[in-house]
Amino acid sequence: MESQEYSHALSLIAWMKESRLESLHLRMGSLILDLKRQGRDQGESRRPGKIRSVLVANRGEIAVRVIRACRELGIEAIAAVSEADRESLPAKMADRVLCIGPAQAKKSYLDIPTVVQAALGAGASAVHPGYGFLAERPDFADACAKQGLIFIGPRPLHIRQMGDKLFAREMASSLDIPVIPGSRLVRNLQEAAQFAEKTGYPLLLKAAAGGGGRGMKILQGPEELQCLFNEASAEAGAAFGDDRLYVERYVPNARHIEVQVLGDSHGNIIHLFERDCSLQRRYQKVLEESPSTVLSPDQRQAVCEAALLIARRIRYESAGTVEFILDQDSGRFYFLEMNTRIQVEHPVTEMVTGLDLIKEQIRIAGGEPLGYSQADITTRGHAIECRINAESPENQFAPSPGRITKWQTPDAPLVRVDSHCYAGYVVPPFYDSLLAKIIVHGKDRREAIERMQTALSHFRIAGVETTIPLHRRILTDEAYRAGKINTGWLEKVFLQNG
Amino acid sequence: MDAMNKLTYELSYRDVVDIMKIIDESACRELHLEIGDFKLDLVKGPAVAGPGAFPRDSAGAAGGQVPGANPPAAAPAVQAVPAAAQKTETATAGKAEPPQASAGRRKVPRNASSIEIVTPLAGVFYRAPAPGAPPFVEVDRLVEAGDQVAIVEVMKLMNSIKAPRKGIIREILVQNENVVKMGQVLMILDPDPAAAEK
Repeated sequence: MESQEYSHALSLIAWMKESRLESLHLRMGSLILDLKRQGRDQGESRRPGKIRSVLVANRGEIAVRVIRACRELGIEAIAAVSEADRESLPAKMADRVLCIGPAQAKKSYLDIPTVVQAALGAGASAVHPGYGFLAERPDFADACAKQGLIFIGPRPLHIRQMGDKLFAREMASSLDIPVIPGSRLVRNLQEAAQFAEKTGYPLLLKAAAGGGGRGMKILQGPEELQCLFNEASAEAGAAFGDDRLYVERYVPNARHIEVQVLGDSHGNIIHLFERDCSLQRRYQKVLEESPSTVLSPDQRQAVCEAALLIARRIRYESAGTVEFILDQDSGRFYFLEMNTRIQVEHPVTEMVTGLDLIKEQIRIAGGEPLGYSQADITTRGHAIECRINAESPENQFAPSPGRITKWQTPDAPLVRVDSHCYAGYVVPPFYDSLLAKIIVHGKDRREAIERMQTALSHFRIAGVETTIPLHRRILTDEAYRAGKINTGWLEKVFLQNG
Repeated sequence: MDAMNKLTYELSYRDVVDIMKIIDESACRELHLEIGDFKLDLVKGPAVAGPGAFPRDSAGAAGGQVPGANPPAAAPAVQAVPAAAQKTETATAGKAEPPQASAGRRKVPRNASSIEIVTPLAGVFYRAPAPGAPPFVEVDRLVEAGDQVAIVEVMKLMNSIKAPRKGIIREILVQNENVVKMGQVLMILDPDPAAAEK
């Protein structure tokens, strides 16, 4: 009997470990069991003030950005860096630094067990994934929760749901939010051909597990179908381990409009208006601004409301972005997808709303309610962001890693530079090419453009090639200044004209 | 009372150790256990996982503190150390030394006319077009001029490395997924297969 109780106790402890229970108090005859869980997951652990230290599981400018936010909140910031990033700015700025493996991201920044162990070993109470790397990996968010670490981002379920682009599409549809006329899923070439016959060309093939333009193909006519279907399917399979494709009508004269949302663990959800990210090259955003010059007040209200509907439907927590395509020919907008992370271009929204999105993310993860209601959110003036990459625009955007010999950032009012670079820093070849984001604010778009031009002319970098000359050319372009552009303009018009 | 009296079960030292292990590995912070006269109170240390839960070995070794970082005095001397096997690789990769030759690097007598295939860019070397796919080339394989023999990934861009002329691949000097320096020799190509066969 008593040994039975003892073994009961043991199995209860083991069971508790796997369960989602917060605490367990048990008195069974003479057996008193009093268990409390350390981790997050439910109520208690999401209380304010719970986060005392944050492991920054990323690199580059976003790592610097997160460390700064932690400082302002009085939270210890621990940088997890690869061998190649030991001399990086985040490593120099953080309160503590841990090396998590070799240069190759697969063996360091993308290695879930290593990152989780680093956080546990450092005694971090939370992990900020930044963007890219593990930011939208539900298995990482799960692994954190299992070890009692607070994942500074949405719940794993949100990442999973919105990561499945078809699910997200259907959910939007069920909320009466327009989606681009598209088939559900094309299992084979034949189904794709049937759809094409019905809808007509051009068409867009996309990966269901999508992202970053991989597995995405524009089909101009039936002769391209077979070849590009196979290519897209192979690309998607290689990139995501999921070769499911869907096909939709391609909108040639489109604007990329996205709405920033914030949700807390108390069910409060607000939007922070839109960003216009229509300047893209190879599906990568190049320049972003807010507000969009093409949205009418009614359209603005409609997209923001649609974004809220989606976020509310899943009771979204943390910062997220709902993306739309605006068809400039019809004036209609369509839901595209939801990104369950902080985005590269978040400072544009910060500049026009005055909110600090990273700090909000950390507060929300700590269980605090949003400090703002929808009525508190207004925008002022106009903000533009230029992404400065280590690429040579004169040479087909060839990557340009190497030692930065000169790094002089513009110093002017209402100009912000988010970067991890400095003179003497060696830009490693292992990661993306983003060197800096320069963000300006102006009372209107015109002033913002002038301010950005001045700022760029005072941004002096030597040692590596950068995309600064490209941005300076864009800002003087008539079509850009007049707002007569679409998502294909940069690649198909501007860059073609040399 | 009867029930209480029956509780004569004694926990051995081993039992206590077992319980401690379970708690240590679990996410639980505290355990209060009472069986009869026996009472066990376990409370885990603040924040840092117990010694069993995390490898603390080799502090300051390959995965050590980055120079210039100031750990607070109170911070536990815990380092995030990847698995031991990974560490050796780390050292190689970090110093960007020429990575080791492929397994069983053979001492092939090099022809006077042998050509070195070098990478024009620093990055990560891949032998195959995708993870799990068959490699572009193997040792002793004949390649045509312009055939792709490898990929060097630079800033997420895949650059194909091509054979400068027709010949036989004699050596592959870099292991898949290793870091390569600008100008590093990746492979040895023998452009005169007939002569080399002798």
